[in-house]
Order: sequence, then structure tokens, then C-alpha cells
Amino acid sequence: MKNINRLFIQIIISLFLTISAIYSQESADSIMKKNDEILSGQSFKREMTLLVIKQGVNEKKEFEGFSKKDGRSRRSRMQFTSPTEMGFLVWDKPGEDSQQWIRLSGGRVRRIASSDKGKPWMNSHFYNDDVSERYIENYTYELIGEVSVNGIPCYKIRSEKKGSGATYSKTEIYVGKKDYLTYRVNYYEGGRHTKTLTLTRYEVIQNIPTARMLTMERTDGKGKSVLYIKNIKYNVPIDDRELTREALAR
Amino acid sequence: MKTVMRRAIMHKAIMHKTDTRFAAFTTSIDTCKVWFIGAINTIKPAVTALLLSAIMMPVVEINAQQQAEDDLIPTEQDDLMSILDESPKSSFNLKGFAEVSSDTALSENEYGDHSFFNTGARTKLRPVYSSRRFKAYADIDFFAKAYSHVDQYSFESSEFYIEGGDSLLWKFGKQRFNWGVADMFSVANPLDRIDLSESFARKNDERFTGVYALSLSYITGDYALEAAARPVTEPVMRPAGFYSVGGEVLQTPAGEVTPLYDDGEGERRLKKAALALRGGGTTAGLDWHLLYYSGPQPRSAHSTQLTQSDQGLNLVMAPLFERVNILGFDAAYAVGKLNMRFEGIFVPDMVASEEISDEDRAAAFGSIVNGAESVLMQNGTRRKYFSYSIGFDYNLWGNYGTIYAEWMQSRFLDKKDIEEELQSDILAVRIEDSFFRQALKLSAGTMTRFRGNSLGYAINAEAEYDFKDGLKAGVGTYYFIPNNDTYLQMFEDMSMIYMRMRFFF
Repeated sequence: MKNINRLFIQIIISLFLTISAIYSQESADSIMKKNDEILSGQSFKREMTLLVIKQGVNEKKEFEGFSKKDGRSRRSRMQFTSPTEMGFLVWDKPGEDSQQWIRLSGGRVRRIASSDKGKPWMNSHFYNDDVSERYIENYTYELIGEVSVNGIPCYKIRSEKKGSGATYSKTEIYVGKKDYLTYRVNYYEGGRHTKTLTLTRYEVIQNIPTARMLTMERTDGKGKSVLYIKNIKYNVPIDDRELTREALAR
Repeated sequence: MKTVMRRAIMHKAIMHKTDTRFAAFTTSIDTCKVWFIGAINTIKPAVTALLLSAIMMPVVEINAQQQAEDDLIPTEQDDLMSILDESPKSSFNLKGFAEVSSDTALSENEYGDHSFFNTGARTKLRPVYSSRRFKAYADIDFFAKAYSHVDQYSFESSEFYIEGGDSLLWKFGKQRFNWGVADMFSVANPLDRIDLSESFARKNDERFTGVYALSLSYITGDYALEAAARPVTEPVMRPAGFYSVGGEVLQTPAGEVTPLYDDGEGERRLKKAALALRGGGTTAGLDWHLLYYSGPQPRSAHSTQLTQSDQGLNLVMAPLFERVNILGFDAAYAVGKLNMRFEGIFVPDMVASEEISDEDRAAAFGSIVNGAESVLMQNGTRRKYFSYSIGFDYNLWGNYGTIYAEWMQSRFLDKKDIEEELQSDILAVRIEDSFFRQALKLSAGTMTRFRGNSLGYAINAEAEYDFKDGLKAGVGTYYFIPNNDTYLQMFEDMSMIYMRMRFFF
């Protein structure tokens, strides 16, 4: 009897230790919530360079981007300045499909169909979908590990979009354990790991941690695209009218 | 002590010799109890270990992954910085391209040569100056062309404007409005000048060129109101090359008649000013605009005069750009893989070209024979008119495999005694795709004109290779099978192969 008691005590202690170990780890939802809550600014204006590297050939494009939040909705516009004059407008609203328009070089504006959101954005390795807002409640999250990215301890979280119509079958997001910043995202299409986004050169600009370099690289060796923020200003006044289809067209 | 020893023995037996436990089970109840307790003591660490390992599995996995993924370090970033961070923004920018091209007819002339062979060089410059207050922009082309029979050097400026303003944007100069949403047949874009010169050799977005105008644009919410005044009307740009209007000498009862196209008189006059208003925006995912235009009709009707001169008889066609009122609407909507577009206009007072009957023709030649210097054979007449184009694009496969289709129709409501509208009842279908990492772009399509029992076709195929360092080269063909179609018969001898090489800078 004494031995049985000892056994139960040992099991309970073991369970307590392991359960407390589990609960000392954060849940995936909690991590992603903290990740989502990191300041991104009510608005921003930035100058960016897009470098597309395919078959060793560099294709460089410059653009100005500006974006503004209204509650949880966000509107963003990218206006290319070199070598093309194309433009891109995105309207994101929680619970709705992202609306996107492209301004062609000749000045005509075309709406992008939702099926085109898996198409390359500006002939780069980013997809049209990648420039849309990612609403946390549209995805499920599962903590699948802890890894180190460039020496930074990170949570590795598997994410899948709820419902149908996802561009990616799943993503793996690497979130810093200390700062909850995103350092890497693995993208899966049809269950296959096809692209990796790496966010580097984090700087705190106007108290907002900002990854100045985003590198999207294909896993099949078909090149990569780098988005580099040359300069950015947060919380600047942006006229709502600049974020309309009509402004994109003119 | 004895029990402890027995337990130890049993423990050892279970661990190393499983048969022993069955032997122990049959020995005695006491022995059995001892075995049971010993067994529990033995299993306990195993159960605990199992439990722990099950729960802690992710942690073990994590450690394993941490080892593996820690090696994934981005490379080459420092090398890229020199490219990414160079060229600070300048207030002045100059872009453009240089192009060489050639068009070769597939048909032969009476001497057995190709009916036309054109080569050309083109340089496009797009200087732009931006400051806080205004932006100045120009789109300038220099052409040097060697046609079958003539060399031509020309300068064209499709845009040349200055713009500024904040809430109210103003733009002054030669500008393109790009109204409408159609892919091929834009009918709700009455302000821009239609450019038919080399329309086959140019891209879709080059089928309109700019006009001199002052425009104002005011955006409120997701909607915009635009107003434009165009003081000068310029005629449709006619081709100087292989399919210019004019043509063969006609044999008539009154003698040889040479057709002439008179596009020089009265087309660039201030009284041919145009005003337009356009409003619209985005509502529940639908892009829409309403349009009102008052000005010369975008596509001319024509009058025809039979004239007698020292050189002989001429049949002189002159365009009629009469003032009309246009009400228009365009809309675009995307759902799933489908991108839909519509634009349409209604013109209550459009001018149509009167039909020339055999009686008119006979009377005109009779008058000339009787000494008249000129006889008006054909004039314009006002009728109600509508025109629309409806189209879509649909992603068929992959990222770029897309089909484009567009149907265009134009009609006078009363068709009695007027010439038929030639540019109407046309279905254009095109499939595009890209290969080799978007370097090779292939497209093929047909343009079919349905009119009565006659179907006329134009087939187009093009391959363009992007060398990714600014150089693009393309080759394509247009092949016309007009059958009995009166519109496509105009292009009967225009089937051709074209080549184009562009270097963007």
C-alpha cells in the first residue's frame, strides 16, 4: 500500500511538472496575438526598392508606398517610379476578400480577380496576396517547435487559413521569443514548401520595429526577390483620397 | 528483508527473463503479491518515462529542430545593399526605349514582290520632373521609317503636360484620359485621339494618343468627379504606311476617278472644342463611371464629293466631325477567376454617312458630264446610336495562362439609307501565357466579325522574349481571312509578319 501511494505521488509530481512545463510555454494563439499587436503605425509613407533576381539577372524597381489604417481596415498604395509607372492599390477589410487594382504603364487601371492573388506581384517572387493584410482571426495556429533563426530564438508556428480560397496551403511563421517579431515565414503550396520569406535588418523607427529587408526566395532555386525600405515615416498624414482607385488612375 | 530480496529477484527476473513472472505467479499468493508490487515498481519508471516522453515530445522535437534550422542563415544580403540603396530619388527622371522593327507583307504585288516591306527605328523618351508643387511629364517619339516607297521621319508627342494641385488636381497640356475599362474596343473614351497608325504593330495601350486639354479632378471618398475641356479636335491618326486610305483608280462612265482622302480641312479648329464630365468610383466592389461628353464625334462620318480638276476626276472623301452628345457608362467587377468589364454609350444625335445609291451615283456623273465642277454625292445625317463592348478575362491555368474575350457592337437605331457601321459585331479572343520564368510570353488570338451570313477573321500570334536586362524581342503575324466581310476586306492584302526589338532604358 505504501508503495502504491509512493507511485501515485510520483506520477502526480511528474504530471504536475510536465503540465506546468507545458503551460509555462505560450499557446500559438497567444504568441500570434502578441505578434499582431506589435505597432505598425496608423499610417506610413516609404520609399522602397524591389530587386527581382532570376537566373542571375537583377531587375530593379523603385516605388513609393503609403498606407493608412481605419480601425482594422487598411488601404495601401504602391506607386512605381522606375523603370515603370505601374501602380498597385490594396483595400483590406476584416471578414472580406482583399480588393486589388493595378495601374498599367499606359495609365489604365484593372481590377485584379481573386484568383490572381496567387500570381506574382510585379513579376517578382512575391504574390499579389503577399501585399495584403493578414487578419489574425482568419487563420488557425499551432505551435510546432522552437527554433533559432540567425541566432534569434523563435517560436515556430504552423498557420492555415480558415475556409477555402487560400493562396497557400499552410505557412510556418517564426516569431521571436523575446520580441514577438516575425523573422521568417515558410510558404507551402499544395503541401509543398515553395517559398521562404526572411525578414532582416530590423530597426526601431519612431518606436516601431521595422524589418527593412524582406527576402522572398523560392525553394526550387528559381530566384528570389528583395524588398528594401530605403526610408519610412510612420504616422504621417495621408489623404484618404490618395488611397482610391480614382487616385490610382490619374 | 526477505520480501525485498524476493522483489529484487523478481524485478531482475522481469527485466531479463519474462518467463520467470509466470513461474512466480503460480508459486503462491504471497509470492504473487510480491511479484505484483515488484512489477509495479518496475513498470512505474517505464510508465512515467512514457508519460513524460509523450508530453515532452515537442520539447525533444524542438531541440532537434533548433539544431537543424539554426544553420539557415540568409546570405548575400550585404552584397545586395549596394544595389538596393543606390540612386537616391531625383526630381528629374528620364526613361524610354529604343526600337527597331520591320513589317513584311505575306501577299505579293503584281511584280511578285512583297506588297510592302517596312522597316523603322523608334526612340521613345519619357522625361519627368517632379517637385512638391507640380509635375511635368512628356512622352515623345522619334520615328525614322523606310516604307516600301518612301522614307519618313516624324516626331510625335502623345503626352506633354504639367499637373499639380492637392484636393483638386489640375492637368494642362497634351494628355491621355484612358477612360473606359475595355481591353480591346473602348467606346467610352471619347476624348483621347484614336491612333490607327501602325495599330497592328503597337500595344493595346498605344491605340489612343493624347489630346490638348485642361482637366480637373476632384476626389471625395471613394469617388471622383472629372471635368475636361478640349479646345481642339484632332482627327483620327491615319496610317502613313501600308494601309492608308486612298487606293486604286476607278473606271467610271465619266472616265478615270482617283479617290482622295481630305483630312486637312477644318479638323483642327477651336469651334471643334469638346467638354466632358465623368463621375464614379467603387461601390461594393464594383468600379463604375458615368460619362457625359459634348463635342465632335470621336469616329467620323464622311461626305463624298465628285470633283473635276485639271488632273481629272477625283472622288474626295472628307471626314465629318459634327458635334454630338454622348452618355456613357463603364463598369468592372471581379469575382473568383473572372474579371468582367462593360462599357457602353448612347448618342441621341450621332451623324451617320448617307448611303450612295446607284441613282445618286448616276446623277452625280451626269452632272459632271454636263459641266458641273463638283457634285456632293454623300453627306451626313443624324440618327440615334449606341455602342458597347462587353468582355472578360479568366485565368485558365497556372499564373499567367489567361483567356481574354471581348464583344463589341455598334448600331444606329434607324439604319435606313445609311452606310453600315463597319467597326461593329466583332468578337476578339486571345489566350496568353508565359514560360521560362516569365521570359517568354506567347499569345494567340482571333478577331471575328459576324455580319449576316459572312464571317471574316483576323488571326494573330506573337512571341516575345524578355532578356531581363532591358531588352525585349518579339515576332508575330497578322493573317486576314476576310471572306465576304466588307470591313476585313479592307485589310485583305495586309497579312504580315512583324519583328520588333526594344531596349528599355
